[in-house]
Amino acid sequence: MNYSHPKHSIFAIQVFDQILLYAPLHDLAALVNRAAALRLRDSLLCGKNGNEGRLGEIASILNGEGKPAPWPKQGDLAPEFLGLLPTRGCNLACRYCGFLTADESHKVMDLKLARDAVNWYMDWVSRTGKQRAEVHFFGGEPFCAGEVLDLTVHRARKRAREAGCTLHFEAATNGVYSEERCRWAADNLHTIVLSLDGPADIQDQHRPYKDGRSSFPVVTRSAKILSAGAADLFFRSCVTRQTVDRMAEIATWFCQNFSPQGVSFEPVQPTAQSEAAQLEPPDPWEFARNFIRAAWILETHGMEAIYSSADVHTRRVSFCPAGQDVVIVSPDGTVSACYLLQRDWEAKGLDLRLGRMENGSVHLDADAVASARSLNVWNKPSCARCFCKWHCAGGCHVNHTPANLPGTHDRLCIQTRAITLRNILKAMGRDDVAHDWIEDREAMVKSVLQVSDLLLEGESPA
Amino acid sequence: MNGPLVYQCSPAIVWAQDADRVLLIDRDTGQSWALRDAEAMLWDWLRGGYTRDKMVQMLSLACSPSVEDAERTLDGVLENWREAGIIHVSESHVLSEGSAFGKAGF
Amino acid sequence: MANLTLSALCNQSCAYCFTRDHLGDAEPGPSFLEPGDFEARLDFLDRSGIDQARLLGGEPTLHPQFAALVEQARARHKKVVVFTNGLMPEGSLTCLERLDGTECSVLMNVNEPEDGQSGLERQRTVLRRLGEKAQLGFNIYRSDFQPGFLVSLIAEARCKPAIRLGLAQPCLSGDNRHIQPNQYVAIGARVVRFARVAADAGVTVEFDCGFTRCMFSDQDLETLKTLGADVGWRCNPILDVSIEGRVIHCYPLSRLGSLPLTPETDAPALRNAFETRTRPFRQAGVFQECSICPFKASGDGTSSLEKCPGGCLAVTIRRFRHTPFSLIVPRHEARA
Repeated sequence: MNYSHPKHSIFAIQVFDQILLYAPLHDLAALVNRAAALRLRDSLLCGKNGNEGRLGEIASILNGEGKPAPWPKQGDLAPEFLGLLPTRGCNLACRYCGFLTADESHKVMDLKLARDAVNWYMDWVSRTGKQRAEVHFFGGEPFCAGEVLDLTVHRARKRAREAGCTLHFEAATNGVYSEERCRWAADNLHTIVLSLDGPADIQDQHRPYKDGRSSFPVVTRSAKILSAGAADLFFRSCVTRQTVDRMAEIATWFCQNFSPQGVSFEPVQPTAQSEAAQLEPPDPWEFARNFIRAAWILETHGMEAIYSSADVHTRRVSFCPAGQDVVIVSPDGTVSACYLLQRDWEAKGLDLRLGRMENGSVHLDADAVASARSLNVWNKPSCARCFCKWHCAGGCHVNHTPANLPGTHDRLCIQTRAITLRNILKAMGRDDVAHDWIEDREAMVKSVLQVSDLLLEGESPA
Repeated sequence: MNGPLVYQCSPAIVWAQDADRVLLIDRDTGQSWALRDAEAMLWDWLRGGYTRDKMVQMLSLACSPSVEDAERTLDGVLENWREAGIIHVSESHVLSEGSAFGKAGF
Repeated sequence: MANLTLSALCNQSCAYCFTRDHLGDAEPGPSFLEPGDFEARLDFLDRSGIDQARLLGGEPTLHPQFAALVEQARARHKKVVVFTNGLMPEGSLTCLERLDGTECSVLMNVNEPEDGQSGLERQRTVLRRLGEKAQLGFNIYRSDFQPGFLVSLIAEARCKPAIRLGLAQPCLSGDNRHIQPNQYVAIGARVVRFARVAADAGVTVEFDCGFTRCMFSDQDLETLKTLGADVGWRCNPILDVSIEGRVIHCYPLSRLGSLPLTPETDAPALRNAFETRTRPFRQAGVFQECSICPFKASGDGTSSLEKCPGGCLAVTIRRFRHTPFSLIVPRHEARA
């Protein structure tokens, strides 16, 4: 089967006794009855449209060209953004953090290395005439190497002015720093992802200082400052089995006390640390249902609810920076496609190094770049028939290994499919259907655990 | 009097970061200054508590080709700000513990 | 224009109240303006060429001699404009009821019924009795505001079919509940949706101060114009005159300082003094991007639909801060 054809991105998912037709490459979503779905399928199979009215319109759209399917990057390297990892060090000891025992946590990026990385990237931006440059800061906690940010922000700004392009800074941070540093972040960064898991008992259970002290006061102070600041602020809230039933409460608390643009809820990623702390991932069905309930609360307050693999406004071949030509520079000068620890990639049989910074420039290995580009949804057979494929793209290459058997849906798949389905209904203006759907476990299971979502696969839809 | 010099922000100065400048206003006189480029960088780093040496290094990395140029730029900016009343310079006879060369970052 | 404070007391406690700094900072003093001092206020209006007596508080109608003060103003041929929460004593209501629409207008600020403030029934009654003299005002202090009830209230009370929308701006202390600029766009979208609903019922919306051009897309602006909305980007010295006879730029900026109301001062001079004092801050706006915005006005606070002053001055000034820093340089290194 030629999955590259847009017709193989037309999906049919049962929702109660209706069929949700979803064709992301045709910008179409519709709720139809089974008979209509069958007629549409027949129309697509024979390439003729004998339908009238609204059904005829839908058939006409689906028989049309549609947009080309997203394709892996080819040709010269074209980084989506420059990633800088100023340090793996951190001033907290989050109980689920897999970075805690990183060998290189004491290393801080040399300022000259940081400057050279920025120069290399901005040279590329200038050369290619790109209108927007982006620099992302990762960690550890990037502000534990504050001078790297203090230099690179200004250097990049200068280069951007010279290149005549706009510049966007983004950082993922724990919010543990002085008030003045927090205001600096609000003034100088454009997007800030602040890790804040919830009210005091949750935050302190999950994210204490190394000596066990509460981080809640300083992080909430930062959250308030950042809420009022110029940067777009997003909270990242890690959810466990113990806290999944409190997601609506957490959302309400966020709305009452802060004003982020959005909140990203992520289930805890199992690590040796999280297991030792008895912090387990939530049941995926409960996560999805509670996410949707929390989303309603956030959206009423004008905030976005985010589950990273369920963004229906994005079409991509790779879920994460790896596979998108992103270049991430580590403190030791290693250039890689991923900001996770090397030992974690290697545990999954992956090598995500791309090259090294040497003599003031980035030296990339062409084979390594090709290998990183191959990390895309086209090479994940189990995703071929899934209606989420162009949004989720198979999830994190390191932390999610899709089953080989197509149509086998694991924890990530269940969460992603359920939340994506709701996001589609919401985009259609049919969130009312989602309200009933999440209260009906049987209906949810039927929708989410469909083996194949492809309308043309030869099975009758549902 | 061989003690170090202390450069301090005038108490009347308030400032805000704009998209293309740092805007300084003297609350008492209403005078204002728009800082850009090296001046904006130095304003940022002064607030961050960086030492003179560190700021020279950072300025050299950020926009000046040589350390000497960066030093000249830094000293020139400080003098301009002193003349403008944005900063005051005084002599310190005592090297306060922990403050001699400032600290990196905020 | 100038607002005269009659009462420091209020019978509501709105979370967003922008008199918080002013009333909180004030030395203990009289709760109400003396009638004799009100005469001096009217003198000020006369020499300023102002034909309106704009009365506010606290809640101005709580003044024990409210009716007498209104008569004083009317005797000077001033149109009386009352800013009220509508929870007024019967005597105050009766006095306003007797005036016609050319003599008096009442702007009644109401909050959403769910906000835990009692008194909607009394407000309904007052609105009904005042009729077309009364207009509703609504302050937006959270992004999920639901103003729909206002349209029903207007229909029921047959008051003026217009709603004055305000953005809850911060006092300089930030202690009152207020919206953040990063909520403006979402709020703007909601305002447009509401304007459509209101227009269907024959009700127009008017913008109070602090709205910004960038809250609305070009299309949204066209929509608002088509719906007859009174759209504007406003921020000017209001001139709020306190009970103690001090004049401030506006209540949110009470901590910026005040000027005395003397027998010689007039409104243009006071306005000029405040504009001079605040002009440096007008270079900026509520967003960092105001400094590069093509819609940003020149900095004197005036605006047209294509020129925006950069939003509320209190929000702008709150962006500024003083950061004490010290750089210690060993003598041998210093060049300055």
